Amino acid sequence: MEDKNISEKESLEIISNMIRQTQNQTTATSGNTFIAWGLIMAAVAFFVSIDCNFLHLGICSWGYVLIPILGITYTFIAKSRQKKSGKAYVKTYLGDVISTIWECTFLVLTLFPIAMLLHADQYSSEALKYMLFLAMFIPAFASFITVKMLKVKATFYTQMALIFSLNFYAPIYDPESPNIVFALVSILSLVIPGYLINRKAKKDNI
Amino acid sequence: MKELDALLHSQLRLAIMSILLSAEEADFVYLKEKTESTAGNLSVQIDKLSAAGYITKETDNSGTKPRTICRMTEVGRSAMHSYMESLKSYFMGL
Repeated sequence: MEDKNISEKESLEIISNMIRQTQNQTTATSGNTFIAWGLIMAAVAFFVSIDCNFLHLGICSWGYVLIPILGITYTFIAKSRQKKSGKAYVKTYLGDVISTIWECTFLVLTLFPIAMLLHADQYSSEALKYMLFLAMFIPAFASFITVKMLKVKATFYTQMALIFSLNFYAPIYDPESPNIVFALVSILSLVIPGYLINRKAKKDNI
Repeated sequence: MKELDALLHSQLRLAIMSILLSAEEADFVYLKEKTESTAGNLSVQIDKLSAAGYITKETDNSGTKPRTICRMTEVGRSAMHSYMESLKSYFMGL
């Protein structure tokens, strides 16, 4: 582009083209975060399941503490690498809203178990075991809202189906063996949408 | 029809302002990539918009290389709003 005068029609084209490209940019930066967090959650759940059933190292549900530790470490490294790489940077309003949704999700999933544990004497151990169901449902719901905002049609309906399935799963939820289900839900709600978001970004040539 | 803002009625400056209208902030590299302009020309146009108070630019030194971050001001946002209103009245008058 140059510093030249343009017609009214060209003005309109430039405005709509630049706004569309900038909004699409959010799609390009979201996919990898979804995949990383989803894989971390699935791997931790798989590790916890192996420990509970075979290794008996006594880590069991405490292993889930690894999720925020590994997730935050990944996010921190990814952000500082992006900063150092000198690659193009843009902060969109859409990206900001999506970040806020995930920050709230993360806060609820971190603070709620801490609050429950601090008052553990007031709850039965059964109640504490249902925290994992909450940890499946909330990220799946946040993921559903995110793909809707990013207009990733390919995964919108599968996400909706997952939310419905989780509602039907709630009454038959078995707190004794939720780890593999947690791993599966993490893959369905984060890893697969992450790949589809990346595919959309590639298709849109972002 | 209202008069179009001469500062905005230029290909490159309008592209910069349109990007910043939909983004909270964008760096020089992003603006250069999306507008497909030369660094020199882009820099001159950013300075013009900045001098008019339409955008602000600041240098972020936290990375390995300094990064110029641009943001649209309220003055710029209202100028873009007026510009789009003028365009609207032009097309409605056709």
